[in-house]
Amino acid sequence: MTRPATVHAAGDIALAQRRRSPLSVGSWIGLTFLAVLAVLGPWLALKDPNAIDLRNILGDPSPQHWLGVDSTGRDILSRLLAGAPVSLLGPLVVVILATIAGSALGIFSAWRGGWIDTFISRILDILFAFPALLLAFLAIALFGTGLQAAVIALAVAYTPYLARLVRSVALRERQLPYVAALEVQGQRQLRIIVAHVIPRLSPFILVQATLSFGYALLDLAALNFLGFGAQPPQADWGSMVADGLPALLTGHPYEAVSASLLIVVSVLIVNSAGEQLADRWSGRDD
Amino acid sequence: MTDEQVVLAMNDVHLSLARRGEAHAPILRGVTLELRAGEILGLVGESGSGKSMTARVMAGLLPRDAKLEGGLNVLGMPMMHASDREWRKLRSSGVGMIFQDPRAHIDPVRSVGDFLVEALVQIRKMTRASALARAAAALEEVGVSDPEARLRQYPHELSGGLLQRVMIASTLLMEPSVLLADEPTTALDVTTQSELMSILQEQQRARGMAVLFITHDLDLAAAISHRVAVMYAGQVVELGSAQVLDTAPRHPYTEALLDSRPRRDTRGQRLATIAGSPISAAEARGGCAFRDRCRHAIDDCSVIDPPLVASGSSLSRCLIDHSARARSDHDD
Repeated sequence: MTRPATVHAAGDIALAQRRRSPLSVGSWIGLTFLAVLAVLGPWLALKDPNAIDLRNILGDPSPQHWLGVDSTGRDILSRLLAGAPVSLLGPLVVVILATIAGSALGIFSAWRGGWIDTFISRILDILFAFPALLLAFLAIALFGTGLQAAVIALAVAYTPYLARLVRSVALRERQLPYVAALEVQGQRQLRIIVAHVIPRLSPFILVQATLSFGYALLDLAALNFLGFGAQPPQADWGSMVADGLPALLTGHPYEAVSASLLIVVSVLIVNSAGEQLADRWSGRDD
Repeated sequence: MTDEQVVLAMNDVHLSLARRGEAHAPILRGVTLELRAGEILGLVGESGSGKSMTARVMAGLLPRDAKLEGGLNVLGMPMMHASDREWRKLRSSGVGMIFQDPRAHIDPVRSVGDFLVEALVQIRKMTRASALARAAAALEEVGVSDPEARLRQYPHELSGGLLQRVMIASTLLMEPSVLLADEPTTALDVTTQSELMSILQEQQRARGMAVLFITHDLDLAAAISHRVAVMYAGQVVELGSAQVLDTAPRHPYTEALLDSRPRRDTRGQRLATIAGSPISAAEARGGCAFRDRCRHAIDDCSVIDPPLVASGSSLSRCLIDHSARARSDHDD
């Protein structure tokens, strides 16, 4: 049987599409910028981020201190850089934990069905009734403050969002004929899920995780702002906004504004990347 | 058939499925079928008559909330209350199934090779290399040219006919003794259909498999099957050898189906049709499900649900004896 040339062409186009990056150049530059900040930030800080200089407080930008100094004379630029890992990797850990837990819960719930599904769904509904931050406050009240507690608390609070989405797409996937075909081959359910279902659901999961990252960054910054997360003298952007607030009111906006700007820019970069993934993959026909 | 060994038996199986917000709807109403070693059993019926669900019962592929009653014995094992684990074992060793739409039944993001070797590697514990060699051989057996190249291709690169061969090959790789074929050629054009049917027949003979061949094409079923079962509204209404069924149908429904086929000698005339429209198992009330469309219906037909009993050399579910019916036709 000879194959028509058009079949070749269609295959080549599909392959080319798969190789083409779903993200714009701008997004790649932005994400690279964030990755460099998160990993190399502390080493890029030229001055000790925790060195107090009480003779020079709330100084304006100068050749020595490009972004000025804070209320205890610490170099703001160095503190921003030193705080990058906590500010960026914290939400990353939140999203990774929530994505793993949410996907596992969502797929398990959809696959088992029946009362197990109902039970898990109702629990998720209850968790939904509480805003993520409120749940985080509860967890912190129970387990104490600190970055680890804040990250775990937010991960728990974000799990229902991921779980609900993954459950809904997994429910649809469960009904697809190819799953029945694999079952007829005698494949184990776990194998079917791991080898076929998760790869097929991964675009949905990745998009939701990316969008959640922006929220997690904001929520973690808010927890830090309120003093429940990273503890002094550890620098992070959320608590820098809080620290800079009094100075902001007295005409020294550099600390609060620069930290806020970094938060805003990071959220924008990650969210626009997430939107691009969503646009690109939501049109998928399957 | 000389070999009368029964490999799969369904005994008075009732199945009902949950419908959203409603009571369970009956799908099968007392299906009794036997599949014998080395035979092709054709299962024909209109859409919604329950033929696909019959195959799904045989493969254990039912939704969790399905209500199933009756007896089911596959390869000597009672499977009515079998666990997932028991089904898995049975499917991986004895029962294979091919489906109507191969494109929907093959994971589109995996290559054909991945699809074919997965079960061999995972269940038969073969190495990937030897599994690939087996897969290539299996593709060759079902008439696929250049199998090594096909193994590297993705499902979207293959035609429907080619993909159905891949599906058949994947099932044959597990060497099933029972093959459930759910309208395997319905989505294909006539030429491809006849090629695939001859491959299926060839493999069935070579391997001595028992095949349940589901179709809505009565002629096709009669042509390739040894025996044919006709389903209507969730019941088997007639079961007999393909030849007898084709020439001397016992049940009025089968008779009406045969009459409504286009034939050369009736060219130019209007096709005969069956009055009314097919009902589903859920719509069946007491009495014979076919009575409202039946030319021969008598008053008792709305009261008595006839059992499947011997009628001539076939089994038929009809109150009115065939010979009596023939007489009454003659009197008209």
